[in-house]
Amino acid sequence: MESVAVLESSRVDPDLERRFEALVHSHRERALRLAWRLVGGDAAAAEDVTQDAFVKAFRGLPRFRGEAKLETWFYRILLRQAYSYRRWRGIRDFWDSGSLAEPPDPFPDPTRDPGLQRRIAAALGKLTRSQRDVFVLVHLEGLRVRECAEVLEKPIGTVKSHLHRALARMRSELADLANVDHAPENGEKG
Amino acid sequence: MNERPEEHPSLSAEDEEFLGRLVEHYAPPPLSPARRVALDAELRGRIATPREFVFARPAFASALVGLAIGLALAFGAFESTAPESARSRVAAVNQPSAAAWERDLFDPESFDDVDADGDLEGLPDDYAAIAGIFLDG
Repeated sequence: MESVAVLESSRVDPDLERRFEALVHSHRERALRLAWRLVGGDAAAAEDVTQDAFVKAFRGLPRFRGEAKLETWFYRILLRQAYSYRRWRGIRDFWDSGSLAEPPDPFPDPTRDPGLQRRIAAALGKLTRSQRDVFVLVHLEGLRVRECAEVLEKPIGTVKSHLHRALARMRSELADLANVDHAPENGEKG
Repeated sequence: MNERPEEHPSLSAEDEEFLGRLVEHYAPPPLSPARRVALDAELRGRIATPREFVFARPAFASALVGLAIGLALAFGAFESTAPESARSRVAAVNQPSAAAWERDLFDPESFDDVDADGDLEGLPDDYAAIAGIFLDG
């Protein structure tokens, strides 16, 4: 990242630029995981979303006023990017009407059950955007409620309300997972 | 360390267990070192490349030129047909029938020239019968 700065960020504070580089290195894994969970378990899409978010964040550094932490600001961009992707994919799926099969995951994980992952992704897809964001950020990524509220720029009470509804909905959608000791599935349900 | 109430949501043991399963099963595979290097290189390349405006892209420029040519052709075709239609409207106004219509309108005596029987000759039989009843009566 050392040679990055010359062309675009001559107006960026060098210290801020160094912090951004550190952010990329320290948060890449988490950003990828968050994007993967938000876009429904699509590894290639998650990589695109994450890279786009990093590029947008870098280009937006001159406008970063330091009112929030750099990480908070970056995750805000990442969430927006993931939402844009979901919306675009929704439009694409609507026009394709399921005629084109989803391409296989280029990086399949043999240790996890793809059928169950699809079910969880489908259940997350039934939540509202706000519910999904808070559920993934707090319950899956382990952010504190206050941090989540800062990322989403929403009151803590609103975040808690979304969390409560999202958890109830997810437990309802995945009732078998909630009650039974799960054994890996081979087929896809629902 | 005492955490403030807003730090973590309060969950039942069942909720904790359920969420633990989700976290375990709904996660991407870890990033391989090779993939990490590739992503780093890609990101470095994208950031180092000056922002490309859509108007400067060759594909966009070609599309713009194509659109301009298409519009010019469409406009040319319209131009070639427009005067013809205008001429036909002017010709319609100057037709003898239109002139007769105007003469009848402004000169009521011209109706005296109308030969009712002569007009009936050109009509189909059923129309002529109806016209005969009303005009003759």
